[in-house]
Amino acid sequence: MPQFILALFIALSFSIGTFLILRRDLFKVLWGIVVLSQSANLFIISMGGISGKVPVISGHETYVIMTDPLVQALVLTAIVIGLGTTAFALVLILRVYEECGTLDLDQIWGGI
Amino acid sequence: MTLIQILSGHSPALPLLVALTTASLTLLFRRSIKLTLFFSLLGVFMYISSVIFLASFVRSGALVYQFSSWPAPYGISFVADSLSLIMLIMTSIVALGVILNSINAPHLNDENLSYHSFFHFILFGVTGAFLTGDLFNLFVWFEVTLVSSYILVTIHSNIGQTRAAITYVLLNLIGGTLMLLSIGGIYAITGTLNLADLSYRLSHPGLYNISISSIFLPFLILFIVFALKSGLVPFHFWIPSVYQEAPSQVSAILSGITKKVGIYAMIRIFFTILPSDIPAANSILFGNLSILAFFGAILFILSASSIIFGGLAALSETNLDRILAYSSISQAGFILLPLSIGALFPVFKHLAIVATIIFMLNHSIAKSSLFIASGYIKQITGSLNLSELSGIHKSAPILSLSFLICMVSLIGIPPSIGFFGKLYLLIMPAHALSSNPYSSIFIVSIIIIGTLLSLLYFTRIWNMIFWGEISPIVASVKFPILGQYLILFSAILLIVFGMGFDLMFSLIDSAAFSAMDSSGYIDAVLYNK
Repeated sequence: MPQFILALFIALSFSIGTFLILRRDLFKVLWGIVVLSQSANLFIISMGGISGKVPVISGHETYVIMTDPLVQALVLTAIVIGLGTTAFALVLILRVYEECGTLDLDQIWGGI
Repeated sequence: MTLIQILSGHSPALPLLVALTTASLTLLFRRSIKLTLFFSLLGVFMYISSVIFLASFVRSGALVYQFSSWPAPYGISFVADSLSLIMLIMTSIVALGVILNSINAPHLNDENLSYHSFFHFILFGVTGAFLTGDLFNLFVWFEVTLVSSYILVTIHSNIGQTRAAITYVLLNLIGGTLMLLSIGGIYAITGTLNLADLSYRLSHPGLYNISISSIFLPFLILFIVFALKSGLVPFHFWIPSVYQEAPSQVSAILSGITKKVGIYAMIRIFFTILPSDIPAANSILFGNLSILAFFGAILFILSASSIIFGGLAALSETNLDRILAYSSISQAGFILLPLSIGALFPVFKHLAIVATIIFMLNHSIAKSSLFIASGYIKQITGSLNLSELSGIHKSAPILSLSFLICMVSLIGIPPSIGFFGKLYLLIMPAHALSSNPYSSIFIVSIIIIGTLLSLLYFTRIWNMIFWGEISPIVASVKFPILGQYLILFSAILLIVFGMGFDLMFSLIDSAAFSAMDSSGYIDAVLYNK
């Protein structure tokens, strides 16, 4: 049951992200991408299995079910990369607002 | 142990270290333009020597480097085989051309811009992507390359650059997310991200309890991500405005180096790693088509439409940079068309990869020189508009000659290297003519239409900008001779590669063999053979 709820939640956040990407407001588009990348991270975490009860360290050999630590390492890397790129995109959007005076995508591209 | 012995043990990591060190040094000394230029030039020469040093160790098979000596499926492996090596050599040639032509560009050598530093960060990311043997690591190198290229595209952050970068950045952020998704899927299905281990597990699905039909979707997403990086047609719309607005040296890097990362990854993942006998997911829809043939069919449609669309769009533009950008889209189609034929017909796999590598080499050198030349024209005359420029062949004969050679090579006229790309591309349908007449004729007609279109738009550039009477804008300026010779150098390289093709061919041939040699790749990485 928890797996099902998690899957449902990931699907929901993917659809929220997709909805936001299709907006005209540039800022909302960026939030859509942030939501999407977070749901991708959730997806990877859930791929490692959520049934484990103990971390992988010595002394826990008697327990059979362990959570896969690799996916967590991957997601940590992905979060850091996502932080950097999101920060850059935010600054870029600020520059677009300063140059164009608007964040409406139609007007940004309409003024050529 | 002597220094050489220590270095030779770490030879695959050397180009990376050199690029990273240079990037840091140029960032550290960015206040002094002279020091920055010195370190940047030194860094490129060191990079080239480290690539040559690495090349001296890669004789047969793959050279494997395990970071921190962790054994293969657990640590991060670097694999230097002939394919990676030829990509690194290509990168070094383009990097040298770009950096030599950046010295005289005052709009890039500003202490507030850190252009050289991010140039070397791009080299760093690209080198990692060409050498890595791990899928997640490939994602990380993609991001390193992309973040540096975002900064270079928006280097002056004026209205045009920010507007062009918005599409580029947001699209690639979505691409990165998609790649993460497919990595998660592949890890969940196979339980590994090491490319060699992945290839082994996929060819022995029973041993590892892998449901082979579910592998289709993650690989489809991966395919879309690579197509986006290489700028094939449905994902091409960011290219023209980015190449137009970014400084020409940056466009040269983007079209000459970073675009090839997506194409390299496509060869590596779909030809080396993915076993060719895996059936596509839905056997009712696709019959017993293999997964590789399915991607070949998609790739054929994408690259054929890129060739036609890029050619037609280039004909309708009036800005030199935009014509070159659309020509890049068309050439990306030419680079990937042989690959799609190789995926569809396994007999032609080797020929296909050979043709793809020749096209990549040709396009990297020729298109980056064309962009550098266009940047040079813009720096001198201040305009790239086809209607304002005319008669450059009189005031800058050497520039015009090098431009002509690059165009000739991109069209595919002997004795340039571009001719051999077209030759190997045409050999495949010629062989299949008796067994598959309709598809061969279809392929040949697409190649002919694409080549005619490129002939047309390049003739148009030549007639309007270089020939004819000198326009007032051209008459009022002088073209410095040094810059012209720098562009001529890479143009001559295209002819030299074409004349000495026998020597080049042995290198390309071994690269194509190592691209197809899955078992050799697995043995080298997993069993140290």
